[in-house]
Amino acid sequence: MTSLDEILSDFIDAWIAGERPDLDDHLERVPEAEREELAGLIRAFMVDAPVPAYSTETLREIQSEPAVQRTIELIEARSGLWAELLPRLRTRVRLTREEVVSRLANALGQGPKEARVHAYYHRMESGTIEPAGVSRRVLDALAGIFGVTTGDLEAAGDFGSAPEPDAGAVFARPLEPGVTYDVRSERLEHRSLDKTPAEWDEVDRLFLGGR
Amino acid sequence: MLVAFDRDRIRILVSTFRFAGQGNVRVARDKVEDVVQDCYLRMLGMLAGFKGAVLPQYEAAMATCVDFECRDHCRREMRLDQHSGGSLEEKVETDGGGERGKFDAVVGKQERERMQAEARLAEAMEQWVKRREEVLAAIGKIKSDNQRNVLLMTFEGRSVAEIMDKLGLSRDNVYQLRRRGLKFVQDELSGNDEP
Repeated sequence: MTSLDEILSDFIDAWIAGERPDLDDHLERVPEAEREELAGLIRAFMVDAPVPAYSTETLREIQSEPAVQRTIELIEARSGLWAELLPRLRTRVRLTREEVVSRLANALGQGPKEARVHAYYHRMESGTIEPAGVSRRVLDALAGIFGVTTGDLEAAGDFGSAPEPDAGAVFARPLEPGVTYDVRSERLEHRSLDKTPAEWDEVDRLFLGGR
Repeated sequence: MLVAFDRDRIRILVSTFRFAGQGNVRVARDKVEDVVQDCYLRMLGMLAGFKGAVLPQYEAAMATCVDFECRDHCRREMRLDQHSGGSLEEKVETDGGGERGKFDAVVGKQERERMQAEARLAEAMEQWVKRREEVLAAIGKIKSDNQRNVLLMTFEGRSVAEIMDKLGLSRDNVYQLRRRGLKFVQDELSGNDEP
């Protein structure tokens, strides 16, 4: 049988050569009693492992993988990470969107206006709301529901957000239930609205008024 | 491009993660890809709030995020499926002499540590940079010249064949010295596993 020493070196050499060694395959090549030891040694190597010598073809292959592709899209989109993060957080705590909205509306003291909270939360999940407009109260409530910190949500919303040339105009329109928006034209639409911040109600202020 | 270059590194770090003090608690194989994606998200969020040199910042953020994300994932899984913890069902005595579930004690302790760690995010990232320096320092402590050189060449990205050629060692020797060297590094760092 091949020794742990040899399998460890096989893994390291394959890593260095950019051959993308499969961890599980290597672990399965040693007796079960030695797998933890091998995993620990590979982890120790990873602490300062060199960048693999990936070929152009391999790099292209990696870039086309869903996890990488999605991350690259998020970086390029520069529209915050809520559209990706919030549905994942919701799935993680095993709640439906309706359940999240119900808890959120109650936490905000807006139970009777749950439908409007739903519409705004939908915009958060679909990435069609300006993150800087969402109040700390909303973020605090969602952080509690999802078991994360408010800072995590704030940072995810802020990621890549474009600077605000005229914030007053950007946050100028409250949302009506059932209305859908084109993501690409969202910012332009905001600028053509007729409702002023002075006309906002409590729900509008929570989601548009900023922190 | 960094995202693609580190995709496999993140996957391996997630796969080999072991919950501190609970070696049998890890990221299940079928959850590894989900956790990798969550690591990327966390990393992007973290990087948004930091300014500085891009590469060191990225590397420190990557390592810190992977660690935090794995811990959070394991904590959530333990909460959702306490029975899989087995021994975590045991009762333990509290400081005040009362009794509480071992699971609650472990999760509570780890949660407090995580919250403290989150509050010291920048510090945790600096710790990572320090940790890498400690790896080099640990290698410097290796008494055997061959073992030290094999390890240094390994971290430089030299293959077994290149090391054999350069140091005049047999293949089996290089295999063995690599393993011993990495074991040494692992032991050196084991007492400093918390970010």
